[in-house]
Amino acid sequence: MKQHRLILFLLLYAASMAGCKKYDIIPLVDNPSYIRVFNNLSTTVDALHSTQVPPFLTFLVDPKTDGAGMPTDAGVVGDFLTTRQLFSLSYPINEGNSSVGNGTIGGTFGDPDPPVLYPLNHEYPGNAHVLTAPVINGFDLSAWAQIPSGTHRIMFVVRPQNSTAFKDLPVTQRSNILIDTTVTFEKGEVYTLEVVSRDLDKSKYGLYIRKEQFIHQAFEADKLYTGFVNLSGKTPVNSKYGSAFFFPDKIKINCTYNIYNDPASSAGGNYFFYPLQGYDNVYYTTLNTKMDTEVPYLALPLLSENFFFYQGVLRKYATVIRVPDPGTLPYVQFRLLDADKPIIDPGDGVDPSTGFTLSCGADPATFNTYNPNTTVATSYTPNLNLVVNTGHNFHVYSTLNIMEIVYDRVYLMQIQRGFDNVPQN
Amino acid sequence: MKRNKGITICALVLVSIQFGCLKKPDITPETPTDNRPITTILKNNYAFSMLYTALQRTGLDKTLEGNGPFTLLAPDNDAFGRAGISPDSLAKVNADVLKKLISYHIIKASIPYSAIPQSIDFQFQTLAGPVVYFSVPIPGDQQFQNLNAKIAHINGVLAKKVDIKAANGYIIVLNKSLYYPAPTVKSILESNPDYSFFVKALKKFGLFDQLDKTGPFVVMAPKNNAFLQSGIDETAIDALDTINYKKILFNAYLLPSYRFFTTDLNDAPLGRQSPPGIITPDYIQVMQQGDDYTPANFGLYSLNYKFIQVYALPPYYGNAFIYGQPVAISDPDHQALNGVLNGIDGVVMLPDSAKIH
Repeated sequence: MKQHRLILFLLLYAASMAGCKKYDIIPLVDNPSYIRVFNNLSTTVDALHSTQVPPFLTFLVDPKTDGAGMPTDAGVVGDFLTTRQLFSLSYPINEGNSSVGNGTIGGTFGDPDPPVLYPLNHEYPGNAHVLTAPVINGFDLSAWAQIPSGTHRIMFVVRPQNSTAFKDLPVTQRSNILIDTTVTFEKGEVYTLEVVSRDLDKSKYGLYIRKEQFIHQAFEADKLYTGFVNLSGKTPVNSKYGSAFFFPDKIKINCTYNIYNDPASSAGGNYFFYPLQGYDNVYYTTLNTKMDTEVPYLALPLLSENFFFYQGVLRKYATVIRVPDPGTLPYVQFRLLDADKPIIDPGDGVDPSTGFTLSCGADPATFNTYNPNTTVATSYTPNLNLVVNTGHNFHVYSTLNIMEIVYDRVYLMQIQRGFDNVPQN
Repeated sequence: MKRNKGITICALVLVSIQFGCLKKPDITPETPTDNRPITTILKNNYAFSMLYTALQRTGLDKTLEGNGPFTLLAPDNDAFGRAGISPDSLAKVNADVLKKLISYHIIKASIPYSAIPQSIDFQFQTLAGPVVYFSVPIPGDQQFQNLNAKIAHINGVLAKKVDIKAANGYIIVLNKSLYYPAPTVKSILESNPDYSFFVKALKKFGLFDQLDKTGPFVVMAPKNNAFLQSGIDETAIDALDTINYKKILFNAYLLPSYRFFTTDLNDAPLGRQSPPGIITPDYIQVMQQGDDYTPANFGLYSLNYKFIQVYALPPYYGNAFIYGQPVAISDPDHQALNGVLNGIDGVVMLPDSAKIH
């Protein structure tokens, strides 16, 4: 008996020694600031623009350099940083997705794009396993990473599009330093850093840093908030003869809140909407300057839940590809016009119109699978009302939306409000 | 008995568990490396006989036996043939000129394929002084070359084989031997009698003298045959002047402040949404990439090419090349220090299109 117990004990002891490996707990950061890094570069090098860079970067904080000043490694490395997705949330939405592969669909018929065989990270921290920001002012900020506050040297290096990690690259492939600057982060503040192109024709790049103010502001529970900022550089010469659409320097924004008109549409096949009272092509704001670091947030009403359901079933999101339709959920439509031109030229399908319509009605779960270069996804953003399935029911959460206009498209960063309480609308 | 047996079995199990998780890398066989210096590899390979003779004549074979590291851009005998050089003509070349040409093919650095930066026209300094431009295919949704094949273009010439490792560096085998860069684009045009009509026309329109400035320039130069095929002979060129014809008649062939090789159109293709060429106030200079079988194309679109292509109405019926048909770049990538000259075999703008009414 005793020997059996001894043998059993020895067996168990041996199994435990040979078995599992425990992860170390990462030590906490003292006096942290919180950063999130995006790569806003959407165009790549081509034969006629040989000084432009392919938008595949490595983000380094406090890099260690070798004798010639070339970076070898760093404390914080955001590797494989590719162009940001059109839609980002305040928590890491790609955390459960593989970094390798593509998963986008494009073209008129929504065919799968060829897979990408190297890792892609659409933002920092993205999929990286680093400490994240806590909840601040009722916002879930887990897409922002912790970094010790103070002064840091920030470097962005253009890296080749393959799966070799940055520190294993040969020296000639680590030497194209795009941005090398020093930034001071204050304790407890939330920063969004974006690599921007300042001049596409002359290939000038820069770093835009926004200290987020929404963590210090008070917001009302029954409203949605949207802010616009123009992060385009100098308008390229290609825009001059109508061969490509770029946003103008001064943008006037009007807004319409569309509600689905059930009786009129019930004949089938057509989608009729009526504008919400007081929000029919109403003036919203004008952007006169570029690269603003203060984003004024403007309010829209948060509708009560019965607008989002029809006979107890959640309404439809907009369809973006194949046969686009606006869906049946209430959605906001922004018209971005040239503030200097009083007349809007609608365009004839060949030359672009002088106005840009942004329909905020798409499904956030699938929106990032549309290839922005080959589909009309750039004319849409996900619905500004965030519908979440919680407690066996759908609930509609209010959001804070930051629309960043970059050359020819609008990137949406949506921050969910009140994630810990079910909304009472 | 039973007890001992039991204990033995348990002890065996314990021991096997302990050894079960031993993780050690398997012994991987070493990749065989060549300990021979670059010159020995060339000497022993008949395909490089012309190059080896040239190295011996110029004394550069001693250089390539040194420590280096060197990367030799080696044209084999076929490559010399494609550039129009036979063993006899190579023997007749002046030793100094030959030394400049051959040392333009030697880079004092070790360049395996993985060390070439993923960009176009990356400059490496050669022993002769002027730089060579390395381009590799850049991934993208318009990239049609096979990214797994180790494709590299050097001064527009395809590298047939890369990563031939020697004791003191690497050898990259070229498809065609490189031309030593001429001092200016102007000098290439002046020294080649095939471009005499073009030179005359440029001089008449006052566009010739800028070609020896710093530039850079890409010049698409029609050969004399190209003019004759379009019915323009020397007297017709004499009849052209700036009073009756607009300058764009010959300005269309000049691409100032650009430097690229025609293979760069394959390595870094123009984006799907970007314009198909260079936009000027009068037309769009369009370049279309070629492949292994067809050369690249050059032509002129009108500025409202999208309208013409979508609404295929008379008089153009959807063909936006309204000034003249696109032409093949048959003799591409002659390098000068201030630009690149490409010989084209057609005329992209007929004189009638540029007549001042």
